[in-house]
Parts: sequence; C-alpha cells; structure tokens
Amino acid sequence: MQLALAEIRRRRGRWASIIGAVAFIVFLVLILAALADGLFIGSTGALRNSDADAFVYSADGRRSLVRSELPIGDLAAVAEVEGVAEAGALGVLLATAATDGDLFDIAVIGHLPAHVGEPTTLTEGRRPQTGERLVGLADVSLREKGIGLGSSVLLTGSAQPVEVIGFVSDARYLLADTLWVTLETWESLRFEIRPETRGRGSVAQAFPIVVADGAAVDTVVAAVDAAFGTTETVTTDEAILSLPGVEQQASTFTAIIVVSFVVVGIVIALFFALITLEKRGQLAILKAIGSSNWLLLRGVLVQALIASVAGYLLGFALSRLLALILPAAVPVEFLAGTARTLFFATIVMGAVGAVLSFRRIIRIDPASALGGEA
Amino acid sequence: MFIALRDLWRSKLRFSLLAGAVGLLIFLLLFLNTLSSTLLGFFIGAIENNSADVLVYEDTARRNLQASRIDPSAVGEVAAVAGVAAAAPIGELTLTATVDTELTDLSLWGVDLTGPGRPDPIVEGRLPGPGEVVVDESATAEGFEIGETITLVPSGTELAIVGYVQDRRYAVVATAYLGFAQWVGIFEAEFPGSPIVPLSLIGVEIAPGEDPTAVGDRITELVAGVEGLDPVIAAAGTPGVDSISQSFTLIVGITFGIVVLVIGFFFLILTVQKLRSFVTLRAIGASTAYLARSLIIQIVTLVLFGTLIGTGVLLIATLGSNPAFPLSVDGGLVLTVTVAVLVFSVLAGLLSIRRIARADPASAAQGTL
Repeated sequence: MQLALAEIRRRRGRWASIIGAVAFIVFLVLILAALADGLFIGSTGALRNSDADAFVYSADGRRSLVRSELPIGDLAAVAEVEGVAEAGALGVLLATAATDGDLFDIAVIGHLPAHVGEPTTLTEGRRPQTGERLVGLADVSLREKGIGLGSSVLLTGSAQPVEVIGFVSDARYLLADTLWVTLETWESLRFEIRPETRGRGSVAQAFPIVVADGAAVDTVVAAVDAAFGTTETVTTDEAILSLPGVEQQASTFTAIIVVSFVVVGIVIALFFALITLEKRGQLAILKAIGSSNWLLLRGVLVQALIASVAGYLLGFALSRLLALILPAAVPVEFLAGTARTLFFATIVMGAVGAVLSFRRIIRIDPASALGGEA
Repeated sequence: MFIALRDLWRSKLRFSLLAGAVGLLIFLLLFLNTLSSTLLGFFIGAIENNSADVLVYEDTARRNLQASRIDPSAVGEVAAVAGVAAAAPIGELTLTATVDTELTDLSLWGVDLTGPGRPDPIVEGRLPGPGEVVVDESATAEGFEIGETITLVPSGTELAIVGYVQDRRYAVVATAYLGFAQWVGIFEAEFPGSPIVPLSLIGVEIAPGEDPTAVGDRITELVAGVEGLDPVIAAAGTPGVDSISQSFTLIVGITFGIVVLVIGFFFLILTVQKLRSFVTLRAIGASTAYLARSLIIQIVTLVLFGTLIGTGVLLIATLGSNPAFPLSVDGGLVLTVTVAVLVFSVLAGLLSIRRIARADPASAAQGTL
C-alpha cells in the first residue's frame, strides 16, 4: 500500500500519462453522452413535458404526430372509453418564422388549454384561454431569437401574427422551437400555410389521454383501439421513442458510447498489463524478500483506483470546459445521472484493468530475481 | 533497422499488446467515421447524390425539402435562365405504405424520369413505367425488393418495384422514385380538393461549361421566391444535418486526438523503459539518428499491424451489422486514418527520441541511470 503510493509519487511522469489517458477517455464519453442527452431532450420535450399517460394516433399515421389525423369529433368518444380520465388534443405544424430577417424553424403546436397535453412547465406569463385566438406560449429557447412577452411571431406564408403571452421550458419538438396555441388558432394557421389540408376538415393529430386512478395503462390503451379500430394508441414512452429519428439517434449513440467504452476499457487494461510486464523484475525481487501476492495485488488495485478517480475528475472538468466553447448547433446537455453512471463505470474499468494483470503477478517466480532473467 | 525488428520479434507479447491496443483505437476511429457517413447518407443521400446539377428550393424553406413549396409555373421561369439546359419538377411526399404486409414509412419522389433529378444510375433492374417505382437499395432491409408491390395507405394505390438505385435515401426512411405525372395523381388522392400541387424542388441540368454555383446564384437572382443551390451545399444545409455532422466532427476529432495521445503515451513509456539499453548502445557507438530510425521503424510497423487489426475488427463488425443500417469498410477512409495516425505517432515518437538524444552516454559506464 505504502509502496504503491510511493511509486505514484516517485514516477509522476508516467502516472500523469496514465491519468491523462483515463481523463481523455472520460472526457470523450461524457461529451458523447451529453450530445446524446441533448439531442434526446431537444427532440422530445413536447411529448415528455405533459401529464399524458398515452397518446392516440390514427393507425395510418404510424405514430407520427405530423402524419396522424383524427377527426376532432372523436375526442368526446375517446374521453368516454372506460378507464380514460381525461383526453386532450394536439396538432403540429412545422413552419419557419423570422425575426430581424433571420429565418428559423418553428413547430406550432395546437392544444386544448386546461386539458392534458399542454406543457406543464409555465415559467412566465399566462396560458391561453379556451377559444382565445392568435395568442400562444413560447418555449424559452425562443428568447434567443429575440422573442419576449408581448412579441408577435409571424410564420412564413401567414398573415396572422401570434402574440406571445407566456413562456414554457423544455417543450421543444425535434430540435425546433415551439409555439403553443389553441387548436383553433393552429387550424387556421394550418389552412393558411398548407392549403391542401383544407379538404381534410377539422382534425387533431393526436389525443393525449390520462388514465383513471387504478386503471392499467395497457388495458386502457387496448380499450381505446378496440373502441375505434382505426387508431393506434401507445404509451408516452413509446410515443417518445417513435418520434422520427429519436430511436435511431438513441441507439446510434448507445452503440458509440458502448463501443468507445469497451475499446478504451480494454486499452486501459492493456496499459496496466504493459506496466506490470515492465515491472516483472522488481516484483520478483519484492516476492523474493517476502512480499505476499496479496500485498502486491492490493498495491496494483490501489494504483488503478487512484488513476481512475483522478482521471475521472480531470475528464469531467475538461468536458465542462469544452461545453463553454461549443457552437450553438451542437446540442449538449449534461445530466448528473449520466455523470454518476460513468463515474462508477470508470472505477470498475480501472479495477478490471488491474485484475487482468493479477494472474501475471501471481505467476512471477521469486527465484527469477536471482537468475537475472526477469 | 536490424535491431529494431529483432527487438519486436523478441518481445512478441509486449508488442502484440501494443499492436492490439493501437488496433482497437483505430477501429474506434474507423467505426465512428463509418457510422456518421452512413447516418448522414440516410438523411440526405437523395439530395447530395441527386442527378440534377442544381436544385431549386423555395427561398423561405431554409433548405428544408419538406418545407419547400414551389408553384409549378416556376419551372418555365427557371428553364429560361441563361446557363440552364433543362429544368424539371421534383415532388416529395412522405407516406405510409405496406409492402410484404408490413406497414412502413415511404418517401416517394416524383421526378422527370429522363430529366434532371431522375434516378440515375439504376444499379439493378430498369426505369419505372406507369404503376412502377425504383427504390433505394437500402430499403431491401424493409422488404422493398424487386418484384414486390408497394400499397399506399390509405389510398390503396399499388406500385410495383422494378429497379434499385444506390445512396439515394432521404430522411432515414425507405425512398422510392416514380414518374412525375403519376406522383401528382398520388398527391391529389392524398390531399383531395387541394388548390395546387406544390413542387418540392426543381431539378436543373446546366449547359456545358457552366458552373453549378454560378447558375444557382443566377436562378436565385432572376426567379422570384426561389433559391438555386449546388446539391452538395443544399444537402449540408438541410436542417438538423449541420447539428449531426458537427456533433460527429466533434466526436471524431476528440477520438482522433485521444487515439494519437494514447498511442504517443505508449511509445513514450516504452522508450523511457528502454532508456538504459539505448544509452548503452550510444556508449558503444550507435548514433542518435540510428536509434531514432529504429524507433520510427518500430512505430511504423506497430501502427501498420494495428491498422490491419482495426480494419479486421471493422470488417467483422460490418458483417454483423443490421441490414437496415448497413456499415461498410471504405478503403480511402482506412488509408486516411492510417496515414494520420502514423504521422502523429511518429511525431509523438520524436518526443521520446529527444529523450534518447539528451541522455549522456557516459552514464552507461557510471551506472547512474
């Protein structure tokens, strides 16, 4: 134990290299995870940030908020299905808008005020009233576009400006800023910008529902689909994963993170194995003068843990520094949970690296210290 | 030279560990690069590899094909711009379809089958006639194979698959191409009573000797409400694509830095451990240049072995990859990564050489090392 610490102290250069390598790996994985989390949060806020237990889509809409269409008249019937406590309605219109001549993407989401489906996190201002036209709630990300309380948002191709009367947080949709308006306002904007949709009549694109206390979500989901036959009802989690690209992004990033971690884990383990290999002679001498295997193994383990923890701390600090200078197009989001998981994973990885060289240490023959062949 | 290779040969275990580590790191770099180019190709292949020389978007669409809606009358105006040899309408519609009884998403492109924007080249099968489509080959993973019939939902329109194109996928969904007139019919069935059938894009073929960017700029200037772009620039400007490509550039950049640093560390440690032998060699007359050459030979040998291992692992990974998301080994990429890693490893090795050069040969005799 003393020896292990003394070795780190004496050979600062080498241990700095090892800690540096661990730090870079931790840094890489943290940035990857932050990117994955940032993409997920920015894409799914509109659905996550609601009280809904499930979403009803039309069967041919393939769980796409954009392509699903349900006659608004069905809303009452959905609310009547046994186990449904409350039902709301949502519609989405992907459009562009401009402030100071700069165009940006915006998703206009129609909803029913005071019903399930509206964003739950009002941070400022007030919500639209039922039937109130051409007013809306903006996601706080729209502030960066110069929009404040009382600002008007005019969509490209529309002559109806929408006044912002409140702000909500974490309500983005597919990385676009969102503007939440009443379903009536949404419909009139939709008919104006996408005239081909007029022929479809009054529709909603999804009915978010809350399940009554005591009812099982799966049972209610099945009951809704059985009652209509033309709908596909999915739980909120499934609806989130069905957003275009979200599942692919999540699985791509999981693949990258896992591969990175495994590869660098092996590399770190090889690092330790290599270092043990180099110290064979000294270890043989230690054994010859009476050190037990256990003492040597404990030393290696302690060293690995110190290197992992120090590397983690350094990598963590580096990732936060990088976040300060990243361009805005790169959506990063650092979550405490991810950092915690990675911390334990790094420790485990370091320990595994140490354990891999155990066999080599145990196999060292103390007599080789005398033969000079070590 | 001789001594360098002998050293490698004598300590096989140590150097295989090193080559293995280098190989895994190179694999990681290749894997990330392949993943990002496949993902981007799935998003924008249809735009980036479009057969048109210039693609015309609505100017307020922010280069987003699905937001771009051009009045059909603009085709004539674009065709009249100097330097334009031909202009043709392109329509895109994302629909639900069944193929092989499975419900799936389909991006359906209506194009002039002999004009700019046509699916070209057809890698297998033939150009579609009435009631027929060609699909991007990657869609075979979703069941879109030659001989199968696509049924559009809810209209029930049936389309037979008669050919494949390559690298023409759009928005990560199965992508099919058919004649423009038939696409208009499908649009009208999808949106009954629509006052117009807006075009998504106009494909332009430029006259010989013209520059795509210059013609694009001329179209932007002369035709109201549109923007003419080189397909590669249009693809890079597709919303979301810059987020993805910047994210990946960042990831690949960081990984590359780490790979080079870690490999550099490896060699540094190795040299430090052999410092005594190196100094002895210098004491008996070996020049620093000779030792440096030996070290560089070792580094080059190791990196080359590592590349072989990395490429091998990548090959295995591609064999096991999901057919819906095919990964492939790109020879040019392997070469680029190898050369880059080689250059930076040798640079890192030079750091170790400096250490050899600075060591005093006399210390070998004094035993002060």
